[in-house]
Amino acid sequence: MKALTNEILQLLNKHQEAAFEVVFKLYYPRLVYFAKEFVPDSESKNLVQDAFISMWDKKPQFINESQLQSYLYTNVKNNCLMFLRHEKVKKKYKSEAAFQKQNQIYTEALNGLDTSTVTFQEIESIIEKTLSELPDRCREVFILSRMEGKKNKEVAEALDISVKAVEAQITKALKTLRVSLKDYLPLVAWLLINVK
Amino acid sequence: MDSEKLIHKITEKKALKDSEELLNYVSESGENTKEYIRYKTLWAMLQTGNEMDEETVNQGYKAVKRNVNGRRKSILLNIAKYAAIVILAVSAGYFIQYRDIDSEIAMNEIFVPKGNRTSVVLPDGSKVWLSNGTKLVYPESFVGDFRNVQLEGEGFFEVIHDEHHPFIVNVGEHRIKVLGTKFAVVAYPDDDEVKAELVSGKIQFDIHSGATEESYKSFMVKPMHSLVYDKTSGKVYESIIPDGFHDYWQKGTYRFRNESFDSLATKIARIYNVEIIFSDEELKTRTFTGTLSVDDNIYTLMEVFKSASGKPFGYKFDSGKIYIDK
Repeated sequence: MKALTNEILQLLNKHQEAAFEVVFKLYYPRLVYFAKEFVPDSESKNLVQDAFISMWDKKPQFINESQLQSYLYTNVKNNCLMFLRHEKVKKKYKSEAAFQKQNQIYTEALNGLDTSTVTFQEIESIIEKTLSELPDRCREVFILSRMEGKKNKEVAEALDISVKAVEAQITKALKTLRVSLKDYLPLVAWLLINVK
Repeated sequence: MDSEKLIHKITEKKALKDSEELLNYVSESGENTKEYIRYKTLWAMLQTGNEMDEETVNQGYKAVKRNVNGRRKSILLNIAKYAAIVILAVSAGYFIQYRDIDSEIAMNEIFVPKGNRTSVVLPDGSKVWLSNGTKLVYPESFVGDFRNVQLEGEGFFEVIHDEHHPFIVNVGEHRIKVLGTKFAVVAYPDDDEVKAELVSGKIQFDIHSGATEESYKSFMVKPMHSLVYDKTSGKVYESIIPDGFHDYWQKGTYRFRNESFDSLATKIARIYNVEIIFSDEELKTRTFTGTLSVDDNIYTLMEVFKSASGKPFGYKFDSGKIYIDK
């Protein structure tokens, strides 16, 4: 997936609707799938749409795409946290231990997630380096799966390997990334998308 | 469970609450919780959303376009509302109660809870916008020589001109008298000051002084000026209305310039219905310049303050309170 050009960012800064649409279509899917990891499917779209509505209304200015990314992820993260907080209150009297535990862990995870611009920029080079160090097959699987969004079955077919082998390679890649990103870990990797 | 299995569970997109095995593992130790969180967040950030079909993206964009420029209230406000049903048993933005004063004219009382805003049209056609934590009492119909209302809190008035029936906003023992004009009154009983801000027309600010009920010191407020009465010192200050005044009432955004954290905290507390507690007096004196929007969520707002602060500070939320420390 392509990153935004400077021209589009400039047009976005001028509050041009066409540029806003480009940004929306690039970031909406990944933000929705990000949110889905923490909130119910039915809410994830609303919470992300809310972030975009607020961005359009507030006209923030971005010097580079990292800032834009940081802005969007921070907003979506905060909207998810707000949702989790209210969900907790709403179901307070339900003695659903599993539900309360999940709410607590997801809240903790999101609270610890650093979405600042600086971190996004720093981590980019680390991911690039790590990816280049992965064994070929592992990198191939990871790129098909994570960057092109293919299902494990599709990756397996494309590379003519078993689904189990695909899963194993993804696990291996995540572990490697985890080690090299240990200082930043819970951060970003969609920056991977910008790695050529 | 080994980490391979853990990662496998996460990449299957299994919700934590739906997998007993995962729940048990995570609950076992703090180490396990940390490990789960690390993989979970990494996985979340890795999502490209390429699975989403074009139609879904387009629908999302249409929904956003329909609702930009403030045409829709933030979804989060709706969430906040249903949370409020549980917390406060308040679902609508305000309550209306009727009560008799002298059994001739029914009085309407509107109370806007913290975290809400509303507007109301008075019997004479005048319109009032009411802010957070504000109470307005007005008669069902205006009779007699004056149009009297009582305000506790913050309201912006657009009063229909009627020179024979002056309009009076009673704030505690003080009052603001007008013929017809646009102005705002800020008079929370627990604030140290009462403020009148005039946009156009003419208003008279009567400050109660002296022994009798009817003795007032009167001040005229100039258009685009505000007059502040300091309850503790008894002094009166005049200043020019700040730039963002209209935005505050019309769009719900509040612009501030070198305003102290302490003073901002009072406003934030009213807008978002939270209590802000400073661990250190020095924090209260820090000043900020910027804009806040009533429709922002409180988390975004705290992040903005955090990044805008020259000296770092930390904050944490705990059951409706925000603790701010160094």
